[in-house]
Amino acid sequence: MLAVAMILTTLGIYLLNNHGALTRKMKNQILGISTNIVAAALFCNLYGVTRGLFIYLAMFALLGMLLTFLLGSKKRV
Amino acid sequence: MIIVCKQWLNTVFCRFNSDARTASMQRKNITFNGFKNRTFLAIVLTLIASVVMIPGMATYLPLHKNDAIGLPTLFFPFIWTALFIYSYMARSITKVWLVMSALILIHIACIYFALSGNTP
Amino acid sequence: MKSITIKKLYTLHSWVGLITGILLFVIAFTGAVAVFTRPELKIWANEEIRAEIPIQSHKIATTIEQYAEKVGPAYLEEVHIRLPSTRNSETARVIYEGHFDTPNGGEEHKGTVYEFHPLNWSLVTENDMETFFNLEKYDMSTFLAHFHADLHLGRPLGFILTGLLGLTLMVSIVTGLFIHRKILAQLFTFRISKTFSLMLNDGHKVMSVWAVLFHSVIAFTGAFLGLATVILVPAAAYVGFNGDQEKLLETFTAIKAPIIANVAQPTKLADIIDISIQQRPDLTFDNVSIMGYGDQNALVYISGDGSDQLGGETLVYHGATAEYIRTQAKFGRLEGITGKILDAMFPLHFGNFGGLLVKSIWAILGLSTALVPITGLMLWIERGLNAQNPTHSKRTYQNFNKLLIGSCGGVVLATVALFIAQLLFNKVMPNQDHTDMIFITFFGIWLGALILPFIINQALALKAIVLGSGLLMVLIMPLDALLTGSHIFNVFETQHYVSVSVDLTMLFLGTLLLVVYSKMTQKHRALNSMPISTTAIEGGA
Repeated sequence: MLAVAMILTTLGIYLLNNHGALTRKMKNQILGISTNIVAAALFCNLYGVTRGLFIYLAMFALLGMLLTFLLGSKKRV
Repeated sequence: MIIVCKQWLNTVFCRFNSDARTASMQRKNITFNGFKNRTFLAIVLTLIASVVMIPGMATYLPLHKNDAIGLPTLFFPFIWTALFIYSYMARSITKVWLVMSALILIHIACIYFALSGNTP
Repeated sequence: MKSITIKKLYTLHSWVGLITGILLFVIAFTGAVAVFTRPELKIWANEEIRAEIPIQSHKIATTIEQYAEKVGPAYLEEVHIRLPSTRNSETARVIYEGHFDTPNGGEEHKGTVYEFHPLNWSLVTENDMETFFNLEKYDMSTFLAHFHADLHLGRPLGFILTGLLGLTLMVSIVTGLFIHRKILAQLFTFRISKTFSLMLNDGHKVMSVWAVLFHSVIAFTGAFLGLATVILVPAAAYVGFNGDQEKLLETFTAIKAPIIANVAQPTKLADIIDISIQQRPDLTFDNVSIMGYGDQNALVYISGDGSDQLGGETLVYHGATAEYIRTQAKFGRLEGITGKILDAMFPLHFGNFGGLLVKSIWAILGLSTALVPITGLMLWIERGLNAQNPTHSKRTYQNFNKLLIGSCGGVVLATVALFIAQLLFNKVMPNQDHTDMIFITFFGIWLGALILPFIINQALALKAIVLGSGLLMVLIMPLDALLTGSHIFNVFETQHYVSVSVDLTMLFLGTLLLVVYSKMTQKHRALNSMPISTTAIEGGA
């Protein structure tokens, strides 16, 4: 379940990223946010609400940062 | 190493002191008026005010005793940060002096009345 | 927002960063390493505790009883046991403490501290409480943890300094958030193919913005933990407790003393430990406190981590009957919200509330907290060097760059060198106090690295520090295998899972650093000749 939660967080962040900028597509925004909400719920289920929420937020920050560094910007923003 | 430290201090102060004159810095830095005054307020009075507010707030916060004592302690970093930034950002230095002095005096009065057992 | 306001905030942001940046890196970097101090690095640094240690409840109970007779009834008001099974220290520690009236009407706490071998519970040291808590005995893990807490400057100076750094980090975060208003739009912006300055600028923003909550939590909890004992608790106790800090701490502490009946009845310690392990397999128990040992009304508090409760849980038992009374959080049993916040405060700073996963996340995000001020300072240097009309001379920027390389690179090199030093000291001076040697190694290497960029070419110095750190990291695993005989190929036999994992992690990180070194060497010439667009940098701010 932990792996699924992490994958969903990564996917959610990836959906929000549009070549180095926050996506303007409503569909992607909704999908990205929903995926992250599901990931947060999974973390809460695994670790309890308080711990799970903190772990999700930390994971979101870490994966977001790493993804941004790895993907870079394909076009100038 | 000493030279570097001197240069570093020089760098820090030249950057903000409007009176500082260096060969490369002909234009005056007017970002902050009364820089020294503001720095004194930000470093000295901010610390005094935020420390005095910890026991001071405990006297009037309408909360359970644990929270009345505990919350001001937890608020300390936020109060310090807010006052520090306010010291530099406020337009009028006089206003900063007034706010800081008022905060300190009011909270000292609260502490005095709490310790002496009198209510103002 | 008006442009003058933004300019003021920007100036304040850069000023605070310029003054505190290097120190913030040092604190944040050692903090990222210190996340693993207890127990991982503690286990790695001490051969005796590398294999798992079972909780020997009966051995513990008989040892406590034996030494209780030795210290006498006056010192049985509080008995505190640090269980060796969590391997948070190299010994099992027992404190027998009594409360004594002073001539001026106050109360004095006196006691004896015994340290036992973690496996066979043979006596290692015996000290009175005052001597023990003033002892400065460090291995590399405790050295790093204390260095992070107070830079080894002691109390109150060290704590005030680290606490103030937490506060200034909060100022940097608040001003930074106002300056970078287009946070969401630039959240994913990292332009690696453009100029070096632009990459620094984007890197600074990406690390700041993504981890802004983490930085804020670390700044707030760090400021609180640093200033708590030196400013906050004395100030809080001033009115509520008439300046009596101990009374305040007692009010907020979960462990309460019972009303002593003065009727002797054995405390069923072994039963209580066994019941706790059986009833709560999710918890890893680390401390036991017995209030009124050997009395009919004795209370036993056994605390552990690992459950959903953020700050750990404490199980309370009636000592004489081993009857379970309740489960409480450390501060959470207090009425009001303060206890709940205090319970969250410590684990959120140390990252010890979700096993190795959370520790690893905390360490990586902690490294980003360290890199944010560094990228900011590098950006300031870059802009200064490339500006048409710079505020300071070129030499000033270059010297600042040297200071940055020496101090920040030096602390990384010195930290890595401690691993090698610990292995060598354990071998050459077994069962001896290595504190002085640890201090000399760390500060000697740091000082050397600090001077290096001023002696040789700064780019060469940076490469030397990166290469040195990488090589030392890679060397840890073979040296450990050579000196202790513990390695990956006999790990199932020795059960040294934690220490071998530390070795492997260091090998991986060392290899990574060597790859970085190799890339640096390849790209050094290309990077030097790369044109730097000042307008692009300014545009990014």
